[in-house]
Amino acid sequence: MDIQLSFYTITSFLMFITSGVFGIVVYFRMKEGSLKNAFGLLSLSGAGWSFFYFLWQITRTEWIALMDVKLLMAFATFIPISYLYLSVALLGKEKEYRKLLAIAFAAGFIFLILDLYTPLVVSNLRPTLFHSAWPKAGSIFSIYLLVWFLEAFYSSFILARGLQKVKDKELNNQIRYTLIGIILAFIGGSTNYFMWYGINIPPVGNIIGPVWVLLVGYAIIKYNLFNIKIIITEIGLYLLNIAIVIDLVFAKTLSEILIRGTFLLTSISLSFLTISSVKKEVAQREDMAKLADQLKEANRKLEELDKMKTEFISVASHELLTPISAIEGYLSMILDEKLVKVEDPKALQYMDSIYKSAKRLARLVTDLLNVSRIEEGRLLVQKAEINALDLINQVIAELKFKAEDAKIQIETDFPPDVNVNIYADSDKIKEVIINVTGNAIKYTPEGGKIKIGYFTLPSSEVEKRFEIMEKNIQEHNQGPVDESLQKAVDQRLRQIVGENQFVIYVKDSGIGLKHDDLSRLFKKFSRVGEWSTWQVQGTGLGLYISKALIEMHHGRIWAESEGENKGSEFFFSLPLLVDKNKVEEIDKQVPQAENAKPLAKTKEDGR
Amino acid sequence: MSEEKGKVLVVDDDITLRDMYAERLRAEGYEVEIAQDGEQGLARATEYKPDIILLDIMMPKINGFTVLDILKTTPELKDTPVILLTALIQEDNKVKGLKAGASEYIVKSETMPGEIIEKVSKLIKK
Repeated sequence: MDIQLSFYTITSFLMFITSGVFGIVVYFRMKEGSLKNAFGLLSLSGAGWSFFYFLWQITRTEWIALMDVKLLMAFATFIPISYLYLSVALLGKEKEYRKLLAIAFAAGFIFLILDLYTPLVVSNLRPTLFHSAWPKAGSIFSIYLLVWFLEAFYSSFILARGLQKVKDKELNNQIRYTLIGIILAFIGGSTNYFMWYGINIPPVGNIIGPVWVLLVGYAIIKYNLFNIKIIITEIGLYLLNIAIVIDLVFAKTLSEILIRGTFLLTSISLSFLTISSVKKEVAQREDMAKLADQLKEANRKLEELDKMKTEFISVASHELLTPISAIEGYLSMILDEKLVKVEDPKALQYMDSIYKSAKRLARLVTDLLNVSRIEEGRLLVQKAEINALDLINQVIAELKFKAEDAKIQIETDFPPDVNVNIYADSDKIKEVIINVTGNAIKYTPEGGKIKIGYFTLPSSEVEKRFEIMEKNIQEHNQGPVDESLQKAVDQRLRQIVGENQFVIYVKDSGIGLKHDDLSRLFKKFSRVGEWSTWQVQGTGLGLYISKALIEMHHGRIWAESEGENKGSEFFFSLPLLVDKNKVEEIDKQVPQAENAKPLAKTKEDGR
Repeated sequence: MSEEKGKVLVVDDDITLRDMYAERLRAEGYEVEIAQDGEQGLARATEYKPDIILLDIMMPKINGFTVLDILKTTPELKDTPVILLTALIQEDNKVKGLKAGASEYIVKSETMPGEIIEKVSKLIKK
């Protein structure tokens, strides 16, 4: 076999290999559907056309050459038709263009028959300047060509118009690459037709042919570079093995056959190993990319849920507080103000129980709302010059009756030489003192004592005593250290301000603290002791809120205890008035409640 | 007697609470008018010219903050003291309300009707 290696032979062979191999590989990776069918048909037409083009180039027999030309024209007929199909499928408009596609295919089959069985398309072959047997245009060849180009132009038009409307970036790129690939191929392919009419312009464009398959294939596998890596490896190895097979076919001696055969076997097995390892690597990378995506999505959902949760708590708290206010209000009108006469003392006693329960419920809801505000970073702290001694005395006056009821004595230790002017939010600090003192009353048995006092302490000492507690907590911890709170209070706010801080302490002779208790103390819904033995009422949120409030004041709150039944002591430190400027400086860096929105009720709330 | 004590307008969409405050105020000798939402509240305020207004915040149609803004920009009503009476415990709402010209910000669940009477009487005397 004497193969004449001309420009046309090489380009058509190249086109055949790329169309065939790349087309098959991509085809079998695509999802079922019209896009797959269209791409398959386009690849088949391209491969068929280039295959017979190649055969025509290497043949010396005239009638075989004519048959090759007729066959290559048969395949060429379906190139623009499958391109039209592909364009429509890419835009997902198969239904819209169903009739047009049917007409195009019908026309294609008519031309196919006319091409194969009549000389109307290809009349005969004749020698030209570049080739010994070039086809001569038949009488309807011009119509054939016109239809061919109309189909191609119209497909490009559909794609270009679709390109403007498609917002999806991936699909947009897919269309763009398909369009570029096909236009290049048509420009290249059309250089074949000048010589049909005796115009001496050679089909130089054939070389561009293979480009379209690569571009379209690349576009179709959707930018998936992982996949393209496998495809390129597969094609490369396929070509290498084909070359070895051809080499084997031309082997002349037995030893040559054996050597080349062994070489082929080795090459094939190595190819399989390479492909499978590339596949594995690609699969791993794809898995990782998928996992990362899933993680991102899960994270986004969690954030959304978290936001919904805090919003729900705010609204629910409001809805709960309104009816509780009515219960409390009406009962107070009976019990405190005696606006209505209730004769039966038992009835009064029952109503008193209802009143206390409603008060507790209101406290719980308020605490829950405060927690959600703290965790959203929306709790507003308004600092001013305040007298700590006045504040402590107010709290003692408020809690006096509660302590008397529990038969607990409150002692005070107010050294006169200590400066009591601090810089803080009086409502918030009052809440902390009430929380801590209220706890002391709760956890101290009848006949016990509570001592409230204050002193100043160097900030370094404050930090040291706080760290001792933290260390204790870490040693006996059953979970992460109050991570919700660490997130809730900005780290910048947590820095201790001033050389000295004002420390308020509350000491009781109560049930004391075990190490386990310490680690739970400042967590949400924490209680001292086992839940089954809770003898005291409360929300378990008081110390959690207190800790957040004190840290928002650049102070620390900590607890110390000798152990179970040995009483406990709570301390919390606050900046002195002299450090007002330093406090303001830090607070300026952390704008508070900037995202705070008032809850406005509208009709849409369903009320 | 009611003539001396003064006229109070209670604006609240919660009927139970609205009646409670109204009843408590009447028992004390005040003349009371009620409104069930912000829109009605504004209309009543214009025609009734109360000495003081108890105003809820979360209400249908027009919320309490908007009502307050309108009241404070209406010449014949801008000097009428307004007590914001709300279930909203958030301080930023309190700051917002006081800035907008409310005389008091009262959280319903923390303040009993008797205490509200005290505040009303103090503000009217002023």
